[in-house]
Amino acid sequence: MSKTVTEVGGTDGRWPVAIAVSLFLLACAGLALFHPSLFGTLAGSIAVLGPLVIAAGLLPLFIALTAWSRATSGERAIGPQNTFGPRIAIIALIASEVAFFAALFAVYLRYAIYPEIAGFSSWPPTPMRPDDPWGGPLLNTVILVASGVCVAAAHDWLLKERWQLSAIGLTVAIALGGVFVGLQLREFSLASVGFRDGVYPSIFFLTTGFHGLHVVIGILLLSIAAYRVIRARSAGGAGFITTAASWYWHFVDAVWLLLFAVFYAWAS
Amino acid sequence: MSATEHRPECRSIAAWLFTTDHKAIGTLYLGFAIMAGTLGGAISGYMRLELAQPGMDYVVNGQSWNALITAHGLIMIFYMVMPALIGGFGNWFVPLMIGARDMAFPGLNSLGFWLLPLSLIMLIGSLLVGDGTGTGWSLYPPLSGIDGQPGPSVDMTILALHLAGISSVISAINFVTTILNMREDRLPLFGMPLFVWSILISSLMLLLAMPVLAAALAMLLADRNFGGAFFDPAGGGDPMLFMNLFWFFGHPEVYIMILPAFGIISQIVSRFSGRPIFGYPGMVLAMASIAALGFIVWAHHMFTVGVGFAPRAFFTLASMVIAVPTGIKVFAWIATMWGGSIRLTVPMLWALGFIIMFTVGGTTGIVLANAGADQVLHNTYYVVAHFHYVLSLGATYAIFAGFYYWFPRMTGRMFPEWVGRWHFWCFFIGTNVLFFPMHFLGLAGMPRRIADYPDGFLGWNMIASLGAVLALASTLLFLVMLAVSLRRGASAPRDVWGPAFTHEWDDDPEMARPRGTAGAEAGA
Ligand SMILES: [Cu+2]
Repeated sequence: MSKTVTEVGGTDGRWPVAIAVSLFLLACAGLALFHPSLFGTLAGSIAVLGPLVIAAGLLPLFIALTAWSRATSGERAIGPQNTFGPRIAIIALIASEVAFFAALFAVYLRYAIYPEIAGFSSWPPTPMRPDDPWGGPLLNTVILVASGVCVAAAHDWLLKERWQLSAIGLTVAIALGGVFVGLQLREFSLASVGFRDGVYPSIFFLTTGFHGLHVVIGILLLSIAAYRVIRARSAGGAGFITTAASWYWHFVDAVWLLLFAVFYAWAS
Repeated sequence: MSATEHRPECRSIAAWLFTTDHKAIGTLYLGFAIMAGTLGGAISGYMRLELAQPGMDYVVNGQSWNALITAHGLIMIFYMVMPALIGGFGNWFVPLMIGARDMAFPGLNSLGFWLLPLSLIMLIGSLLVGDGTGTGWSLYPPLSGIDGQPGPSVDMTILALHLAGISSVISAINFVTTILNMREDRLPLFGMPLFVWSILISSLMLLLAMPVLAAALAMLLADRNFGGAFFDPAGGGDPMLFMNLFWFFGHPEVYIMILPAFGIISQIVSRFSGRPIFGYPGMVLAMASIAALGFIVWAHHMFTVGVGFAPRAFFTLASMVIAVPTGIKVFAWIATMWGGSIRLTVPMLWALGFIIMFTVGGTTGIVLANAGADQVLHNTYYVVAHFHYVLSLGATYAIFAGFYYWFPRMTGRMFPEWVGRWHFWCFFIGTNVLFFPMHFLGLAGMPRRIADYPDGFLGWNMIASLGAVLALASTLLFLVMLAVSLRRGASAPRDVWGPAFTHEWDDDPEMARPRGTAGAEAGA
């Protein structure tokens, strides 16, 4: 048996269970937000917390993930000593994310191409307009593409063992990602229509919102990568996380470019 | 096995809870599937009791009837068939068949499993709280919208499905990585046992189908709770869009369940015919083309809701084309047996039962693929008969086939052959007597999803109820046999089924149970 196995991932079996329970608690937090009365005497405090219930539900998940990551340096794949396995895993993960966004885009395109089926004469429905694409959204595009270039350069530098440059590249990319999220939040708060104002704002905010969420996840991954690079001061010590984070970041970039083209440029 | 010494001894509850060993997790999946299947079966028994005669005798109203239908369907699909076929047998035997020590990500494997019982708790909660989710497993709005189902049940069902979906995607990533990266030296892709192929293809389908369901459910959740208008005509939304998204997931889901069944049947038919499977490359390509075609046929579930003429023609044709690769598989199984020395062991009986009954279900599937015929039959018991022939008599037969086949390998013990035979024949007769009359009821126009029926349908319903009694009794027999065999079963000889073509059997007999597990506790 085990002819090809050279390493067993040092996995502590307690953390996966903790993460499963945290995800369940997060689902319960969502349920509490929708139906506080289900939770009996807690209903009053849930009403006070409001959407913060979700934050409270995220807390155990965040703690469990951090603990697992610290305990095992992330889960190392067992199997041949190469990065082929982790690469497949990241590609599979991104493939599933692509399917998720494809569904959101399909919904948007369904309404944009056949607005009359839903009773609209044009798309977006007449009083509503997306922001001028050549203002804020274009700036956001430039920012995100620039951060993608930084990540690519950082990855390249790391492979050449120039870890200082790599760390700088990652830090700049993280900062640019933060600016992007800030600008998006500003755009959301200034928007003239709200999520509840019909199907156009619904799909617009859901898709851009999920993209923003993925930017935040990407920033977290890049931060872990930067931390590892700075601590390990070498490509080998930093491990696969830099590659994984950079691939993920490029995926998030690509989704934004499509968003910009379809949701902003085409719609206006 | 020095490398395994740091692993927990699975003697205590904590050891089972925190294990990351693929065999132990496979056992957990199988135990969970048996429990969930018993629950789902109990619900169906209760529904059959209601249908035993006209009138509403047990179920108070249509809403609770629909809630039972929803719970039965979701439990059997997400918590019985998928955990047994993919999580259970996949975890146990994919690594052994390809010569890997464990799954690529043992921790993620454990995470994928533990999400399921928690998700099931949420789903059972949705049945117990308020009025239940009276929508059917397809959760169509506006019935599933906040006006149709104002209580918390639908939200709990959606959250349960989100958790189960995360679990599926995680384990799919794990299987794909394991199979592509951890095969022993010189085992080419086209040398892998068909069961491994089936898990690989199912996992790839899960990766593309499950996120689409997640997106649709997220939008439904937003419609219900945040005032979204994705599927709400008042805000310009289109309820049919949900149906498209749901079935873009829902049809591939059917193949996600049945491909691993095909894989198991291929292993068993080959073993008990004493020869390698006939037309191996064709079998692989047939599974791949079933998977690919499975993504472009979804609208055959929507013929009655106003699909245009051209799409009807396309989806009818595409659905019927799937019969070709499926037929290739059936003929390859027959060709494998042809001229082989067939041994009618208990697993082989189940495999033969699968081939015959799945063919019946597949044939009614071709009938229903015709948009014209489907217009008439769609909301009748004919459809209930069809999908129970592919799932209750298809996937479930494959689960029992695999369970009997690998039971000696998983537990180191043997089951009494005669009980296995009784179980098979009672279940075979019972399920056929239960489901075959539903074809007639459907053709006569008995609508599905209704708790009551006119007296004219009593005859076939009575016969179906008798079949249900036999099927449930045989399931009880199985559970008793399982409990006894796990503790008192004779120890299984190494070569229990004779010479093997696959590698899960050439392990050390000491390894016949999850590492460090006292076999008696496994799954009990
Ligand atoms: Cu279908």
